[in-house]
Amino acid sequence: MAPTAARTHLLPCSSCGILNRRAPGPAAAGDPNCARCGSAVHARKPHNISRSLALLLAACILYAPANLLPILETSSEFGSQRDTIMSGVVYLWTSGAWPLAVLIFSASILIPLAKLLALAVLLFSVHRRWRRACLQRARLYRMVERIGRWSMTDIFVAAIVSTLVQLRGVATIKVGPGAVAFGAVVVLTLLATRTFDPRLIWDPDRGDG
Amino acid sequence: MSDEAPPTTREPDLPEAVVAHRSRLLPELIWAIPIVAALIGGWLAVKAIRSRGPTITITFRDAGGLAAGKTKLRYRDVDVGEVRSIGFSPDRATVVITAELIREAASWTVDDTRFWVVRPRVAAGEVSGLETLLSGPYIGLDVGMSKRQRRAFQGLEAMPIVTGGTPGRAFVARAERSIGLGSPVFFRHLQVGQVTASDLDAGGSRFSISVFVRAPYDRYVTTGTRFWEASGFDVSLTSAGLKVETESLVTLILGGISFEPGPDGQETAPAPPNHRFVLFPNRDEAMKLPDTESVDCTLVFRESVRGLSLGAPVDFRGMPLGEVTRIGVEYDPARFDFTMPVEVRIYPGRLRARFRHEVLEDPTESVQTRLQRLVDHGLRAQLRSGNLLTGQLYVALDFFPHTPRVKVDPALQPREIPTLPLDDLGASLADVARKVDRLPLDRVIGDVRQVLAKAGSAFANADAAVKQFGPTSPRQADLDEVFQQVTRAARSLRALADSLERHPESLIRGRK
Repeated sequence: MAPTAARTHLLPCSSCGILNRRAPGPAAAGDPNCARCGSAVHARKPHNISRSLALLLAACILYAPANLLPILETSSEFGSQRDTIMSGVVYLWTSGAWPLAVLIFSASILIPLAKLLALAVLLFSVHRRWRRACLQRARLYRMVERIGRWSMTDIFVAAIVSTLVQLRGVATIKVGPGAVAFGAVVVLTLLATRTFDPRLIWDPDRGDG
Repeated sequence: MSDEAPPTTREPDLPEAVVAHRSRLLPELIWAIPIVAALIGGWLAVKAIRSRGPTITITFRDAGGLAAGKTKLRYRDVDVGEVRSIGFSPDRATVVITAELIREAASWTVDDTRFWVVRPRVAAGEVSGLETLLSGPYIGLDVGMSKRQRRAFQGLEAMPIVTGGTPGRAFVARAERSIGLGSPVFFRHLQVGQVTASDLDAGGSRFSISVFVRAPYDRYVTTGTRFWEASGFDVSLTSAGLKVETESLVTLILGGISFEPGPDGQETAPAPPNHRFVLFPNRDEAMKLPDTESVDCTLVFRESVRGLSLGAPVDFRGMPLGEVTRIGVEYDPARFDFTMPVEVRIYPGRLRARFRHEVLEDPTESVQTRLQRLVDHGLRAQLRSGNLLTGQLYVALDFFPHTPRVKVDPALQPREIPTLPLDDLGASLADVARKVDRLPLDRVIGDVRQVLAKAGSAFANADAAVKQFGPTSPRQADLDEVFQQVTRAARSLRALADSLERHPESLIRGRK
């Protein structure tokens, strides 16, 4: 069995890289800090499962209004329009801009959904201390971490468009409540991903259950 | 992992972690985030559900320009709903539009709420719905007054001209011709309303034209008000001269309706809504008193009736009492004589309305005896020239006390009123014309020319004679004077001849 920092009761400092020895006995009741740089060190991120779960739940709840509420409210001389993400995708699709429709659909609907599902699977598996497919789960986590931030493009587009298109009296575009919810979903999933400690995936592997 | 024995570290110089006690928030506080999210989500959901109004269906003949999820329903230019889907009725004859209204509109979906599609429209002298050129049409609605709720509506094909809540009253005008929807309604040349509907009666002979008059002008509509068609312009060439009347430029093209108080001013009770009026063809008709009673009479003229037209007024000292209804020519073979019987219709009611207190009437007296009495007093009919320029004639009734007595034949039907020949002015003019005709103008001028010619030759002879005298003899001086006088006379004669040639009428009228 390969030694890990946790198994050898060492606490790696994520700031300065030094290995700290865990103080033995009840003295370890406090929070260990790095002996060299003073930043907090821990074998696993504290309360990471519950934190991750809480953030994930919040993201799941907000996913509904993010998709149901209008993300952009366009009002012009010729009437007003409220677009949800899905209606925008449908519009792009029906007007023939298929690549764009696919892009927005995957970036704004599919990826956040996939991320929520992936995080749920990861949390569940860690909670149940699965031993199988550790490598795949580790890959999944890395993918989620990498891909997650790209969902923010939607919010950026909405923000930029709404600030640029302010032709007073002729046309204005406002960010709708859906955009706020959507942004919250993305941020919450990012935080949940950060809070999740991927090392937990491997913990059951050490055989001590 | 904590209950394991302390490991044997191969690197004993590893520092030991410093234990510090940081104050940190309860780790359970992280759960506040999903709770807040749930609260926000729940609130949004409740709001969305609460803001959902009734879903209704509207039937239209076609859905030109309407789009599901895009077309709005607007009430007083405020969005109150949106078209959700567009489908067909089972028999595919109409388009059924399903629309969702806002929550506030829940109480609006009553029996007489009307829906119509607002499209660009040019009608009744105004352009409306221009903004929909670019934005696409929307569905307008007008909330009804009824209390009965319903969910399925029949959409109007045209925008209603008067929407609910416009203060004013609607009236019905009965006419033989239709008037365009939206045509203006005028009160003393001020547009105060519009024509809202024009329905043909079941019989197909008359139209019921709905007229809406805006407040506050609706209070000028009383039961005695007269409505008339103000369509186009009215040119009439009558004995009163050329008359062109029009209400406004708009009515020239589109037509319209005018109303004004009736002529007698008797009935002034405000008309109740949907009061029925008669729509007269023009103002004169409208302003005529209702002629309940009429007497037909025949007037037999012997002179030409050229210039007398049907409908020409029968006038009593300038007061129109009736009109000419028929003009004919009759041949009397016994006397070998042509007469011109002119039938007129006289409305005695007009006389009575105007001189209500002055004409004493005995209701027992028959028309016949009354007429005889009037004729005995010298009542005669006469053709008079109403307009020298156009030669229009009218029939004048007047009293000529010194005319010979005439007996009215009671058997004749219609009754006959004796006539007098053409009136004095016309007769004397004709007389003058005849005199002028008789003047031998040609001969007079010829005579004058002859005189002049003779005078010319006489002067020539005189010239020759004078030459025989010496220039200094006393006879010569006398002769000189004579010649000068003769020359002056000849000059004035020439001037007279010239003047006569140029103005032969000066023989009659004298020189100006």
